[in-house]
Amino acid sequence: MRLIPLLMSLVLLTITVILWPAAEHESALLAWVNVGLMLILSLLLIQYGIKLVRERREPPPGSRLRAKLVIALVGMLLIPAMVIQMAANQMVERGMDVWFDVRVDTLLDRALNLAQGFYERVEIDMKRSMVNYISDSTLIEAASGSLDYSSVTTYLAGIRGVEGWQKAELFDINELLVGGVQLGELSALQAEPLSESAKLSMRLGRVATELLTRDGGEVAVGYAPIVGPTSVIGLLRVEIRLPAGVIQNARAVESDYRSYRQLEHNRQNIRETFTHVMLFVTLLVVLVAGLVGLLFARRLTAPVGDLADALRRVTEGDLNVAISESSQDELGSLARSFNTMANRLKMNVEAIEQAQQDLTKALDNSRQRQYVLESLLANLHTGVLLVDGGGRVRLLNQAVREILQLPDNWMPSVDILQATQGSLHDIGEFYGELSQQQEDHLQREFDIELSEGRSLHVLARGARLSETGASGFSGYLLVIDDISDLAEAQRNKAWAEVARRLAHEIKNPLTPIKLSAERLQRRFRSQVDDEKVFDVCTHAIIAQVERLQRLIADFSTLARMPQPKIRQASVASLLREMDELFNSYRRLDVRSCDADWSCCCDPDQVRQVLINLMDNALAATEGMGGKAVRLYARMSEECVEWHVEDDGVGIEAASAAQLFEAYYSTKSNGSGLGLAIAKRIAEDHGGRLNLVSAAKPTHFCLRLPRRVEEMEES
Amino acid sequence: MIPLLAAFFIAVCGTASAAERSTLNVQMDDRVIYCAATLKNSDDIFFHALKDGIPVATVWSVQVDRPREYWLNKSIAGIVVVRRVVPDLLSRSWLLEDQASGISRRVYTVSEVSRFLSNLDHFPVLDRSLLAANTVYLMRASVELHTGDINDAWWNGLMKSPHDTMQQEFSLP
Repeated sequence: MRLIPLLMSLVLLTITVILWPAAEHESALLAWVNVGLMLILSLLLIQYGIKLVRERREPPPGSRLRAKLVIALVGMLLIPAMVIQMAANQMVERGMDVWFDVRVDTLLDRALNLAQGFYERVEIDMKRSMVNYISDSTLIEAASGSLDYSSVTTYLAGIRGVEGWQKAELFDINELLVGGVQLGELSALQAEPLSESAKLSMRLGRVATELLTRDGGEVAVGYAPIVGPTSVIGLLRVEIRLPAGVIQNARAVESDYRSYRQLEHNRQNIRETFTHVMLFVTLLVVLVAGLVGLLFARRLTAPVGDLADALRRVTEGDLNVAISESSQDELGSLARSFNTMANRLKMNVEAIEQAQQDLTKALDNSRQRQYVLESLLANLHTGVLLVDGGGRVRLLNQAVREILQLPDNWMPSVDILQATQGSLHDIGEFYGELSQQQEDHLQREFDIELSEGRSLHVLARGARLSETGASGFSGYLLVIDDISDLAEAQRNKAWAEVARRLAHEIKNPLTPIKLSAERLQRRFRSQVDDEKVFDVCTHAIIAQVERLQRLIADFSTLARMPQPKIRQASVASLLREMDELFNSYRRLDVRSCDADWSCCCDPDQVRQVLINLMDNALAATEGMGGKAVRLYARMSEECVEWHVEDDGVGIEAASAAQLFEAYYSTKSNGSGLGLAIAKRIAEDHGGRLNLVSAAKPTHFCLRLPRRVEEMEES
Repeated sequence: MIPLLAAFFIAVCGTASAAERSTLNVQMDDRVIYCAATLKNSDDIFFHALKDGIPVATVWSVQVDRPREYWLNKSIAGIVVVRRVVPDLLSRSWLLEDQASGISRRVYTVSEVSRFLSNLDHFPVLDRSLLAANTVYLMRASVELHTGDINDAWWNGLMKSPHDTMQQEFSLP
């Protein structure tokens, strides 16, 4: 379809080249007009064809249909027009063959020969008759001036009558009229001057004739030289009026012959002129038909184009379209139906858009609420678990992961009863109790043993979420708080209160008891029978009182732990002091460090901690050889660490968990406050006291921050 | 041998291509500039038409221009001469008509017809006073041949191309 205009232009150009006019063409103007028309048509077709070929996007609505209609209309006209032109050309060709038939040609030749024969006969007869008078003696005398005028005219009248001439005139050698006669009246008193032919005849001495046309008709004029004894002495001029009827017919034959020959000469031109006229008419018809077809097609396809354009706009989402419903035919009905459809579509789309806006607003609110809830849960330090009715975790926040150190498999949709096997069984039991009980709320405190021997004291609160109409969700909300620090603080406070009361109640009577025992020993030792038993008893009283006093002092210390006096202390100095203090123990190995190492701490309290750790290590390695106890320090960018290792029997796993609790001791004479106080000192410094390993070796680490800022942050 | 053949070939070709060319000569006396033009290679066209009694005419257009190097030539004078021959088949004579002067005469020889149609002998073109001395002028003559009646319609001249053209530069001494 796209190539049809180009093909048509190619055909048209081929015809143009074939019909290109020759230079000597008679109807060149018409030929050039045709060529111009065909070239214009070709260019228009080529332009339209190129536009169609290069057109990538969809053409304007209705243009293709319009083009098809125009092409069809022009084609319907072009084909019969070309057939008619070919038939007409053939007819002209045949007609010209008939017109210029050889028989007509022969007939005209013969007619012309007849006419020419008449003229020749007149000429021959005139010449023959005039030859007799060339040497006529009378005329010679007359031309030489020997005869008078009347004799000459009489003689001329005689021979005119004999020969049948209309006019006879005699001239002498000087071209002067000697005498003349004429049939009827004289046409002029003065003779006409001699023509070139007459002069030539007289000069050559030869009879000549010529044909003259006058008002009365054609006249044959003859010239005969009058030859004297030695030379030409005069000229006889005679005239014969040719018969008018014969002359008329002869001239008509000549005219027809000339016309026929002229037509024959222009035979090719006539044919070409006819062809070009026909072609011109055909081209005009095609042009007019094309224009009319274009107007008709435009009028016909305009509603279709409007409809297609409106459909395209509807497809692109523009529903504010309305097309003209002016016509009352099928296209008008189609336009009305389309407008109705577009209106309904527009109303539906508006309703959908309104619903979409409502939904979007609700979704935004829901997302906002969800975001607030997620932010709240993420920033909470309280662990939150949301469990659905089927026991599957639906939501858990980061805090619960950190508090319970949940493994990675704790994801939403995990079954809580299966996931709480092992150390988290208390959580599972709490959930089970909550789900089984009648009440909607439940609160419990319990300890959870985590990895690395760390235990947590948690407060778990649960609530049953009943299904409501809006949410459609039922399940359980578990809120878990790590209250280890709170519990420990409460415990410490309780112990401090106990210590304060014990110190108050016990400390006061101990001094009189001890003084009394000493007085008894001094006053009554010599009076007793068995001094040995008396000494043992009094020493025992004094020793136990002293032990109780030390115990009371430790309790007092625990109850009123002084604030550390922070200052810059040398790590190496502390190590050296420990080495000097315990240098009597050969199994102790104190490793020195760089003298530059220092940290911010209360050196007295740190020294107390180290002494406590060293005492415990030395006690655990009693009787062992080698370097069974090792003390050394390490320093990093943030902190300083003191490490105490011993190769003693180690600490049982059960004891390790309670090692730092107050009043817990594995020694028979221990107060159980040493490590508790040491831990308290470490925490007051912003550091930590850890049991790195319980046995082989038993390894404690005191870690303190190096700078005050880090201490405050801790 | 080969050079001789080549020379012969060149001579033959030269002879074949050396068709007689129309000539234009400028003549002048004390007062008038004349032209003498001869049209060659046109007798066949004349006599082919005259033989069948068809009138023949030559239209001479003589133009005198002053050549200009960077613009169109300036026209000084121009003259058109129409010479027509009407054959009389009955008397086997030819009527010579000079349509510029209106003079006509009958001749009975073909040579006169040929000379009448293809020659302009000492034909006055313009007054010498119109020309300046020591200036180069260009005289151009173009000839159109017409057989049959001359079509005087305006559009006929649009497409008609001259049969022959000739030109000659001249200047006043």
